[in-house]
Amino acid sequence: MKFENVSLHQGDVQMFKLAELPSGLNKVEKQYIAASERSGSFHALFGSYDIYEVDGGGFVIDAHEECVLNHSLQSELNGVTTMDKAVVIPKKDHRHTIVPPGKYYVDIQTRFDPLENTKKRVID
Amino acid sequence: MEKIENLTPEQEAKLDHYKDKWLAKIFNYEFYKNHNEEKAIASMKKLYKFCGLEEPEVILVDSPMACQLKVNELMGNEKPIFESFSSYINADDISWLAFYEFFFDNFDILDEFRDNYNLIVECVENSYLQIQMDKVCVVSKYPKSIKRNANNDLHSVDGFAIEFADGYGQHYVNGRFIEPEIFKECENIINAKIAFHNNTNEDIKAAIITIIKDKFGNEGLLEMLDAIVIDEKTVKHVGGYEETIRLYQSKTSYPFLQNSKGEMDQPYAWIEFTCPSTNSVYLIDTCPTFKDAVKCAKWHRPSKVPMSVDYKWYSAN
Repeated sequence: MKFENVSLHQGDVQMFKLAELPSGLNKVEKQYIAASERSGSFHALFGSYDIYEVDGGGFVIDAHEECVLNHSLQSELNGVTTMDKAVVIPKKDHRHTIVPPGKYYVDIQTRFDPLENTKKRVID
Repeated sequence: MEKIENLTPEQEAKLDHYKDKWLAKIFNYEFYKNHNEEKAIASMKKLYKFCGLEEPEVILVDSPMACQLKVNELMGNEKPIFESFSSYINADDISWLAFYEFFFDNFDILDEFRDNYNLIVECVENSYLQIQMDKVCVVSKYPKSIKRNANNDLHSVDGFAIEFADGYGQHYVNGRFIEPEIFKECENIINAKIAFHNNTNEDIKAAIITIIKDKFGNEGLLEMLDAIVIDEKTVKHVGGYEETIRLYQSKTSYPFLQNSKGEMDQPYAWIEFTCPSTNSVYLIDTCPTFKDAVKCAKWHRPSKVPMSVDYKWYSAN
């Protein structure tokens, strides 16, 4: 991946702008970027974009227009049935993030496990 | 019906009055102090009648937990189960009640709905939450105490953030619910230390850190971690947002801990981030080889991000 120096974060979800769409990606259905089992909250991108799985975890996003990354709860989705429109949903903890058009690599911040000498995605 | 396209500046200037008036009913405890049992019972009976339902027995209790216990008792449940609270006609409605009161007071286009509006106000004035069942409606009074942080999120490190007349309450730290067991562990530094090391959930760990920092200061936090500060850096991000990142290490090394090179007998190490939305402080486990907080922060980004990408947020929430 070719990275540009533009980064955004919403809690532990971090987005990094890419110069171009990497080749060989597998396009998937829109889905939550991350979800918390404990609190029931989710980070999800709303708007016109394509989403691709990345080997080893994370996604590549191709945002065709300005999109909105929301951190919210299922119960706040009142009437919002798709992630196709760039709408702001009442927040759980983190304010919404405006994501400019472009290509992004998105994944979760990591922690170091000193017992196993491995890096893992943080859990919330 | 006439459609209102715009408000005049004079009308807009009145909006804050309605917002503050309705927020005060909950946060200045007007609803709690003025609770009227007769009105609570009568309004719920009227509501059932309005909906075409049989008049219920209305049971008043002091808290949402008491609602749950009463309903489980009525249902004869040996093992308590959660029954859903009403989605409407409760404290959640104050935003739109304030909205419509503004229009009732300043326009005449909604007058035909005033009686229905008044019925809902009567209900909401005396009901924080209800469980509505056939023939029975169990109503909880409003909380007697609500504590919040500067962001108006529920927050208290000294006791319940929200508390009801019967003593039931819930703990929140910067808007996040905290289980009572975790909160109790934070009454002293030794128990908090055990809870911190035993938890893998970063939100729970952040709550422990926030409570200890608020109650015992930075010295208390370092004592809990048995740690020293290795580095502290302030990073200026785009748009004026400034972030202070700290590196900590425990004073003691432990034979079972490794660094990222696989070398054993290492200290615990943490990197401190502060959430720009909630101000919660997170201590993320890190590798003790780092001496530079910014380099360490870069290393904790997702694994495919090279260290050559600047640690600078264009948007941080």
